[in-house]
Amino acid sequence: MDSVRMTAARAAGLIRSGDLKSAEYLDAFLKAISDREREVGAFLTIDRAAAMRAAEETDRSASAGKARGRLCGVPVAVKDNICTAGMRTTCGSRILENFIPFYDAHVVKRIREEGGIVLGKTNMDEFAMGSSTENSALGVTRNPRDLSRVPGGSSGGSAAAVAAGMAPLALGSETGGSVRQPASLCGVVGLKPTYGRVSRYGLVAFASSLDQIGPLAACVEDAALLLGVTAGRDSKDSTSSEEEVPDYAASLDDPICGLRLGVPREYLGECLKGDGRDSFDRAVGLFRDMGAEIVDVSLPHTRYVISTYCIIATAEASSNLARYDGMRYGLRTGEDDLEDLVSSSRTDGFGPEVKRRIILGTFVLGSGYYDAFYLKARKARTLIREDFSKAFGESRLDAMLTPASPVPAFRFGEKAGNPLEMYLCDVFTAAVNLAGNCAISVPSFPAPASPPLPLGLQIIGDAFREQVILRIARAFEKAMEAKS
Amino acid sequence: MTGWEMVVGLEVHVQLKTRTKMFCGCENRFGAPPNSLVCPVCAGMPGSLPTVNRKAVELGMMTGIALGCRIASRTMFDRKNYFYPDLPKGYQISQFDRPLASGGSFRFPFGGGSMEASITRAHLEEDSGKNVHDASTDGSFVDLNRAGVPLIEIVTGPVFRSAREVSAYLAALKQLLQYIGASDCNMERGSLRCEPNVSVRKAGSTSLGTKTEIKNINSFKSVEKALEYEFRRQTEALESGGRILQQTMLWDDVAGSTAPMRSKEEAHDYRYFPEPDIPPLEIAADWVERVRASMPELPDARKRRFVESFGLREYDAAVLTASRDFSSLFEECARLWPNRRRLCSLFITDLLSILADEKIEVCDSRLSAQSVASLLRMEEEGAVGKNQVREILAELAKAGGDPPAIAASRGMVQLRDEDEIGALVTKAIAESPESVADFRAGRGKRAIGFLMGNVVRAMNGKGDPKIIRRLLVEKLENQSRS
Amino acid sequence: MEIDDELARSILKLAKLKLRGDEFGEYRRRLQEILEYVGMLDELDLKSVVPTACAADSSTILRDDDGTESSGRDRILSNAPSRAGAFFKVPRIIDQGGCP
Repeated sequence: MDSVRMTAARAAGLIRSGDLKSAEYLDAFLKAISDREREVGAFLTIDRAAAMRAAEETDRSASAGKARGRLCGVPVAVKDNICTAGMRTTCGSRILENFIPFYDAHVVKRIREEGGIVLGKTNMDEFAMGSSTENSALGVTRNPRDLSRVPGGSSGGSAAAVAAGMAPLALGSETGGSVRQPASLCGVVGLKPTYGRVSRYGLVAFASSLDQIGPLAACVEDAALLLGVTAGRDSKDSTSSEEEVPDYAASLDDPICGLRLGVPREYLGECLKGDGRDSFDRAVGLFRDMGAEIVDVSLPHTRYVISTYCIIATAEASSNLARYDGMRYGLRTGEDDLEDLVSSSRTDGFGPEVKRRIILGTFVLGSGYYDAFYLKARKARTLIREDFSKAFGESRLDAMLTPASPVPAFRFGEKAGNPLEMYLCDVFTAAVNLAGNCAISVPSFPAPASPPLPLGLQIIGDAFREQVILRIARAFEKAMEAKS
Repeated sequence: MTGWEMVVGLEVHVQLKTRTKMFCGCENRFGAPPNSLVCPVCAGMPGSLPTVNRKAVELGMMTGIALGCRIASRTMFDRKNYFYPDLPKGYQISQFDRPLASGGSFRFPFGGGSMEASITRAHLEEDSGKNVHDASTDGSFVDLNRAGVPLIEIVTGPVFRSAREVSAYLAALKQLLQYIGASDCNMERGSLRCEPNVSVRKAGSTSLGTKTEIKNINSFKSVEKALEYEFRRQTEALESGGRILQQTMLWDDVAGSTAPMRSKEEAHDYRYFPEPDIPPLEIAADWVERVRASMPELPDARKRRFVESFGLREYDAAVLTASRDFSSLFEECARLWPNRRRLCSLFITDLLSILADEKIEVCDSRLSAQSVASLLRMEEEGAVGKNQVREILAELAKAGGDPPAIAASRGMVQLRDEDEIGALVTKAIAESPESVADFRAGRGKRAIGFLMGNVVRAMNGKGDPKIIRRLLVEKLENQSRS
Repeated sequence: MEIDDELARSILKLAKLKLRGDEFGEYRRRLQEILEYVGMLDELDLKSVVPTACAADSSTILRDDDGTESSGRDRILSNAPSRAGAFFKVPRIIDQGGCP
């Protein structure tokens, strides 16, 4: 059987029952890694031996009838800003190049508890700051669909690993779209859960009030599986919600006929042109065909999303990244005196984009500028949140449809020179992080090119309504399969 | 120096007596081996997150209530950003514009009367680690055991006009916090730290001068010294035409002087902003009421009760209630021993000095109300004398035990055999005809005192003094008549 | 809003970053550019808007005051760039007993 094409959900079941060897299943992905990793560069760390040992252990348990877990024997690629005990966790940064945590992130603990196997750590924009993975200090990741193009970011390694068939499942992290945007550009499924749905314990912080860990997978069913494993209250994260975790798989194939899907008109403006626009219009048409009700809605403060996001994300980042001072872990350079050691370590350890954002974040929090920038952004954030709650409430929406990214994958270096233009890549995704609700990117009609370039459709849900957007995404996925 | 007035406001940091730290489950304990009480959270390891200790919040609420503050219905944590080797995250989690408690006032005894200090605010925060310095090497060493220990910072308005007022406030604050069990307030161990803001002005002026902040005051004794020094330094500077710079001064206990902090005085910009890892904390009114109801009796109330229900003098009641544990022990004893005046003198004259001499805290002592009552019973029955009572009490405080057993093991039990004592009394009188003469001449007190001494010595102090005295009087009277 | 040299230097000092002369201009220009962009927030009337502090809506859930185990000294020190016995070693700190 074709392991790489089988859903992870199905594979876990077969491994549990002993009908599929975890070692064989893993081997299929290790082969894909041997074939493609050299050109794609999705991983920063792969521990083949440890993964194989874990798989063989699973197989021994299975033959004794003792194999357990929803991810039984399934390998998972983990973004390198999520702590893995005993496996280095670099955040794509020189400053943490040799950092080996002795603790697992909550999500990693959950994966292991459900029988999953950590396959390796994936490349990313340094500290998750970027939208192309070009900001990694430790390696280049290419888009498996077109190696001359970026995979998106910041979870570019995770998206590329799944797209290249090197891992059935991957974890990414979001601050402004870092799961959905690379999922869109690589042609895989990527979900940003509601803030508080998945514990952030062990996720190296970029912007704490926006960060959230999300699954990437080749299909909606697998994204639902990994979300189900990782979601739920964790007493180590004060922002983790007590909201009950539903069985996401149970309602996945329920019909979507009659659901009210809003299309925010502000998302169809000048930043959505050409192929992006065509792809989106066709996707909306497909939903009409499926019997969904398409509703015109307004998110009036959309214009202010990127500004608000830039200020809040960088302000929090400037504080979150203060701990990298060369004292307790991480790169240390310069030894003359305290002041010099801290500044040298940080200057040598952080890349240019990280420094830019620390500088901006330090500025907007500074006395004399706090009210004019940071406080204003927090207020604008309230308006952006209200946009969503009003749209969902007053228009009684089940979900909203928008493109996940304005354009398909771009070529290396195309936007690297212009940070502001790079920030605008997040224009369709960042609002959801500011509002705190959930959204998924699912492969939609690609942009015509040779080869065709993937584009994602974004389905935005109300807070803690992951079940609804997964169901809509699954219906769309099936309709797309029927088309091809 | 005359004509100048000192104006002092206080920031007092107090470590809260919790089992675990403010934001993680590591033990909150003094004196453990370096870096042994540390986890990813308090070490600021990447990916770690804070969780708020309920007990710390409740002790903070109690402190606020005891200081007459309003408890916020919604309180928030904020980040105070600065770099320092003992600050693992590069920021301290503190509270900025929504403190747990604010707007209180605290009345404390001063100079025979009392004085009131306005309490601006009391807020929760985490302690930093500790930097250890070693003169023999080029480096400093960081121990993070203290990092994350819960603190409450209590801020007064600029209400103090003398170092003595500050001392009196600190003593009362310490007593209060110990009473409510919020802290042990041990300044030498750093569980209470005080940072005065000091300025001076011409007497009668209503404006405030430029203030300096004094850090590194490590004992109650140093507080007054540091304030007096800084007052003198500022007035001398102003009188000689200089001006005061707003800066942080470090107190040097050995030199007995303050000096500006040597590190470059950057304009500190702490960039406070709401801690995104901790959602705001809603405090419902009924929670505040539950905490209020669970609070132990405060020192003032206990003192009044001691006066009223035990018939003690105001002064004695104040001494007895100075510490919660001491007064609680007294109260337990009072339930078992009805002679409160004797109990009171035992506690104030004997026990206080025993504890001070032996450097024992009441809570560490092995005393029990039962053993104290048993000791007083022995005394009442004449089995032991006053000096022996004190000796046994000291033993009880140090090692505990059963008073009769202690007395027996030390050979203290008094001889009460009247024949034996009578023989010695007769012998003493026979050996001292001048005492008999004194007695006859109406100088009985002197005669008995002299003879008592001889008999007691002859019995190695083991004779029951009451019996000796009675027999002496009887025999002397007999002799006078014959 | 003009970022002059002095302001730029004070930001770098707070952020504990040092840039070489040629980088300095570049960073300053980027900061200027982004500040001009985010200036659009001035269009909004925010007087009566309550600022969002935290994305979670519910009150903080408190932790019971129960001990969990600490990590152990060796694990805590395992990533230290420099250690001396049981301690993290750092360059000499001048002001004893004083943090800013």
